[in-house]
Amino acid sequence: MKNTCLALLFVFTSISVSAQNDTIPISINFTEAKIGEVLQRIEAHSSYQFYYVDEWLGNQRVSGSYQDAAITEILEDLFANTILNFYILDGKKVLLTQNNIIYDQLPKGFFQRSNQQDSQLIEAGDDRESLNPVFVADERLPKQREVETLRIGKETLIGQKQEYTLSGYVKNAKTGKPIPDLSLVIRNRKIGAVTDDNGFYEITLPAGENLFETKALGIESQQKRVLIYNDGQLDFNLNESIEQLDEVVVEADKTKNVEEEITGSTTIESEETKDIPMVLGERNILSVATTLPGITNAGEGASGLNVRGGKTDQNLILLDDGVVYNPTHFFGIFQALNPFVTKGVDIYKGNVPAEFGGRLSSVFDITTIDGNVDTFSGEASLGPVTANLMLEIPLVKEKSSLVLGGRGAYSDWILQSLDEASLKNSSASFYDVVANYTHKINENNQIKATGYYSKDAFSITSDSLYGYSNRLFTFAWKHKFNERNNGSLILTNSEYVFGIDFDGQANNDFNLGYSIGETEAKLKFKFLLNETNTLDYGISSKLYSVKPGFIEPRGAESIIRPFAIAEDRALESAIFIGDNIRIGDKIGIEAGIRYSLYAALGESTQRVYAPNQPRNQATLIDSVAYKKNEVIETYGGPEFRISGRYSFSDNFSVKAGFNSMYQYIHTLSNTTTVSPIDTWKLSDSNIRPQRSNQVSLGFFKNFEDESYELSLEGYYKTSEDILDFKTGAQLLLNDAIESEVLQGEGQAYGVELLVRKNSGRLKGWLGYTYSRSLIKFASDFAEERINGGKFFPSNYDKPHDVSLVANWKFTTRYSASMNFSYQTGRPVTYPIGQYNFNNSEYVFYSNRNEFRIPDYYRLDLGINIEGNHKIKKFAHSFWNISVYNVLGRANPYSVFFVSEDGGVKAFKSSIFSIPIPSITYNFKF
Amino acid sequence: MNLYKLYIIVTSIVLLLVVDSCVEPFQVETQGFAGVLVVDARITNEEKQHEVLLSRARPFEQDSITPERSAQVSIVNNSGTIYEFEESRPGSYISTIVFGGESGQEYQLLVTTSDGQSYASTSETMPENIAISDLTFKRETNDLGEDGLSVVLDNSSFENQPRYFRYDYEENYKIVAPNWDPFEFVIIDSVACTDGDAFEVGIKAKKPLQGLVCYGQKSSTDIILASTANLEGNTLSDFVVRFVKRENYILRHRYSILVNQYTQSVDAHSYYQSLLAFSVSESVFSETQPGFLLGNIESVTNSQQPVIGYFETATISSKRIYFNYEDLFPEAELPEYPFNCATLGNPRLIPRGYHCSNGSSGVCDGNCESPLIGQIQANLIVFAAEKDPIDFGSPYLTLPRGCGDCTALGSEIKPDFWID
Repeated sequence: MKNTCLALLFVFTSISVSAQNDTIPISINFTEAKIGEVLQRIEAHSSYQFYYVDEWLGNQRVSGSYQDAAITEILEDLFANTILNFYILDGKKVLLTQNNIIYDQLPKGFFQRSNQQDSQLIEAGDDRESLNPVFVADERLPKQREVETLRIGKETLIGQKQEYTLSGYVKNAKTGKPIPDLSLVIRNRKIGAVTDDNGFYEITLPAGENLFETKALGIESQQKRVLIYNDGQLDFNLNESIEQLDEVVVEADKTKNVEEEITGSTTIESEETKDIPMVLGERNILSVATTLPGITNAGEGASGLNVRGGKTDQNLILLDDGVVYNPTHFFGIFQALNPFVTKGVDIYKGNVPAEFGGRLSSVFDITTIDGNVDTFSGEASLGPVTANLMLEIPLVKEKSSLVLGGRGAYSDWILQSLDEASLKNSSASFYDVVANYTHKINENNQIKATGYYSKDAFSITSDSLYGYSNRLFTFAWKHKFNERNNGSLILTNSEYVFGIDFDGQANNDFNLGYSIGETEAKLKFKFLLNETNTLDYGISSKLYSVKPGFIEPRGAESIIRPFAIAEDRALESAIFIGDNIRIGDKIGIEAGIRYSLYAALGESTQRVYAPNQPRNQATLIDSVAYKKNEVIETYGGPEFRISGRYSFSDNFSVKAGFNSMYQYIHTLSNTTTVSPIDTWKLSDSNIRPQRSNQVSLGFFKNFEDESYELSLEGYYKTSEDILDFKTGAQLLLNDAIESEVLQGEGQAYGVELLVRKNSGRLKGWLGYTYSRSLIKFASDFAEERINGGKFFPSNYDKPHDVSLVANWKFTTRYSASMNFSYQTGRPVTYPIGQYNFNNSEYVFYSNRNEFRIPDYYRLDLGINIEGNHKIKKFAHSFWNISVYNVLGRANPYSVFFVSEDGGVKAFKSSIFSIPIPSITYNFKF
Repeated sequence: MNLYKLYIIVTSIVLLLVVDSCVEPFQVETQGFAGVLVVDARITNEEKQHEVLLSRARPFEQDSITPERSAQVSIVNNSGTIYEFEESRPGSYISTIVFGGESGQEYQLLVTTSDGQSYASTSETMPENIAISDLTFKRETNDLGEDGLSVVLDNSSFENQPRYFRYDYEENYKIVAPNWDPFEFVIIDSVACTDGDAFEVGIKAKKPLQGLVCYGQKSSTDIILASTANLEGNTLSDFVVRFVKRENYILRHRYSILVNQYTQSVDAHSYYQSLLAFSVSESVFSETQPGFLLGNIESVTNSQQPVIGYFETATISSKRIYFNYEDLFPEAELPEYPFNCATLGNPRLIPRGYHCSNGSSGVCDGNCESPLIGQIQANLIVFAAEKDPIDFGSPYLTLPRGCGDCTALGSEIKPDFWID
């Protein structure tokens, strides 16, 4: 206690003069007067003298009329609505105090306790009669004293309690939006509270000094010294943290990685991706995902992600619970999600919660922001490729809000300016719009509706226009039954469409199209059974409807005959239950089971092939017609989702998991990378669903007060009935697609290492993955074998993958960021020789994926400049200047061979072969 | 906003640079190579000696074909008739008798190579013959906006069964030397110094009209495919078999094209489609998954042994048409001749620095190459005119050979079928 100085908040006096003794009568009238003025008039007309600090009095206006009244009566009225107390000393001197009461007696037992080191007396004795004066010792170091001190409530002599209730709202100072999930930690008490969705918190605090600290993701940490005298309200207006790891993506509460039961999950906040240098300055949450271990893509300009050695069609990409079939624009270079409206994405690549299913490799659960219910606000950006505007419009104050976002590429000029012969007559444009409506009906009911549409149109040659679009609508109603039960009803509908409009010189102009639509209803519940068990359960069912392809004449002269492959329909349903079991601090188990059932429905004609024969025209023996809604074939089975965690200490845990999945819908693609004209096919009597099993084991450790995270995860995954195609398969408008399909086995394994630094000037992460992805297509028949029926590397097998993402903050306004990635070159099928056939030369190819293209590496650099933080400024601006591919590495994307004039020429292509600078301007208002 | 515009411009320029190097040719090194047997075989309904070509696939560095010699080749039909083939030149096997395939019959190709390996095709049915009903010319602007000639084809299939076609063509065209001259060079003395005098070149009259009119000939190398799947009425109409740009000199005078239509099976069609897909680049962004293209021939002795190629049974229908330039392009100028005949050359007969030691019968010790004689010997130039006034150092005005001699581009022999 040597360094402790006692603040002068307690006035001790032995002079025993009580307020009751003062009987000098005062007559005074005042209306709408300031307290200070009233006090001055009392001083002028009586012998009383007041001692106070002007600031305490504030600007409150008071009125009153007193005739021969006692000073105490007047003052009690006067200070009734303030936090001021008074004490009359020597009958004349009136001391005003803030919060405190000046005691004229020592509290009971004062001397017995006085030898206690701790100046906080409240935990001791619970005698209701006893007074509990609030003593506050200013133990702070000089530096800490900059922390603002707030006083809450007025100390009263009657109704004193040991503990008081403090509540309030925490809001974002800039946007006025509530900040949910913010932790308020009372550092000196080891208690805390978390704000709810409305930013509201309530905490029971012992009277006296409480050191508040706010902690939340992306929000500056604020400390306040709060002196509690009574129940009260304290609102916080917090700034977004510029200190936060803007570029560092994976975030969660500091110990989530160690404490969470499930393995292989990560969260990326959209806002935090803004500093990572990206192609042409376009924020891309999906590209950021690829810097994390276990998530890759086939290369620049390749849409689709490969998660833990899985195919690109094995990812369930959800936007507010609705499926987005193609979340990218322009061959995968840009994301088709509005970065301002996107809140973030939860990625499950290992264990998947039981509520999700239908894809083998991963779930990308993307959510949109909830609109600001208080003030109109928005965000806009101008980049080299797109302009983007987002508005948040409150409709009913504190209840409902509308979010609108629109984003579009300026024009075709990107492609127009490319000096690439094959693209001379090309054009490309895209846009996406998103809107959502949130309404908080009451404490227990909340609804959210989201609509989304994205569209791409491009033409590579002047006669054909390709277009694709995603459409999505979702509706979610959350209902809280009681403290322990809540549920949601979710309805979604989504559609993916692509088309080719061919308008050439000849008479064969046509429109070709494809569409897939699905409508899902899902009911899920959460039940807090007891301290140990939390149950999540529910049912879901979705109806697919696929138009696998149609062609129709375009224009009167066209000789094209309209043709359409019959519609495919299917119903995919599931029932699921998961239990989160926490046994003490050490053990946590997430056990889930999902039973999925798939039924392919008529109306349809299914072809029957001779058993044990390769499927082709020659072995077609029969075709069976099914009536509308007649069940053609059912598949299904239990999917187990089990994982567990054992914590050796607060910051070290080991986790293991087993995960099994079914997938009933497949992409048909005969290109090496994803193309927008890939179609989806439903399982039917000839095409079986894909299945996978994954086991994983991981070690998670946090260092140095959680500022470093280290994780090491390993997995082994097998899959069955994955799809591939006979070489040269024709997939468009093929009504006997099963004769081109091969179904085989997959095997993937890997080790993922991630080191992250979450705080300080330098933040970022380093990830390294060693993984393999092998597939096998064996058959008794040569035409149904690939590479002689042996395991071979998949197109996305890249054993070594290193990613380094770092952000260095110079000042609060300036930061620099970098992004480096290295990957083993992807496997490629290479021509190994040439031959003559029918008067021309051709190349012939090696076994599938026998060679690799050269290794890939790329360095991107960026500088981020935040506008200054003047509070009254209309808009908050943010500049991002970045250079993509600083090293100018021409990373080969593909190699291809062209037969021209009877000879063979080899070409390699790269998408971005020189450094690409860009500037993006963002502002918020 | 001005700043923004500027930025757009800057970025456009940058982008121009970016994708400049997007696609570049590169030299392929052969990595691990096996000489796989290549079977290039097709029979048609034509009554002729059919040919089967056998070769071995070769590394990229090797230009010449490696013929597969001394193999036993035969074709068997489903009534048991065996058509034997004999090697006529290396790798080329010709049927010993004249025969034509019959629609509806099945044929199987059998090959036994000299190393004892046997190969067999699947049984292939000879499809029904669909005739070319019409073959005409049309003046059209193609998809690249170029004016030119389209050779378009119509056919009609009977039943409502999709038909699959492959085309090839042979084009012949008349060539007229624009600056034909009745005289030609004759080299009188091409030896410097030693024979006692300097170089000498004279002119003499050609044989009448020699080198004035020729006929060029080219065969298609591309894969041209069509099908009536998805076509109204199961007919092909105005299908463009060949497009020739108006500027192409082969159209200058009279042009003829013979189009062969092969009615093929759906399997053969998809084989050719794959072959086509692997040999053209459709888009920078998406690449068809290539792989070993399995045809309809397998090794009998070792099922793991790959075989390249296809045994195709197709019925053929051919049609030839003729076209005169002025019929379709009456107002347009003639396409440019492939030689520049506007600029006269004047090569020196006696080179500068020509010097004989020891007088004219000595040894040439200076510049001893005559440019004129060198070019005449290399068959690069033709006589155009004598220089006026006479210049002994460079006495003749010349033109590139093609200007006065059409054999630079074709043959003087008129094809048998040619109709003027």
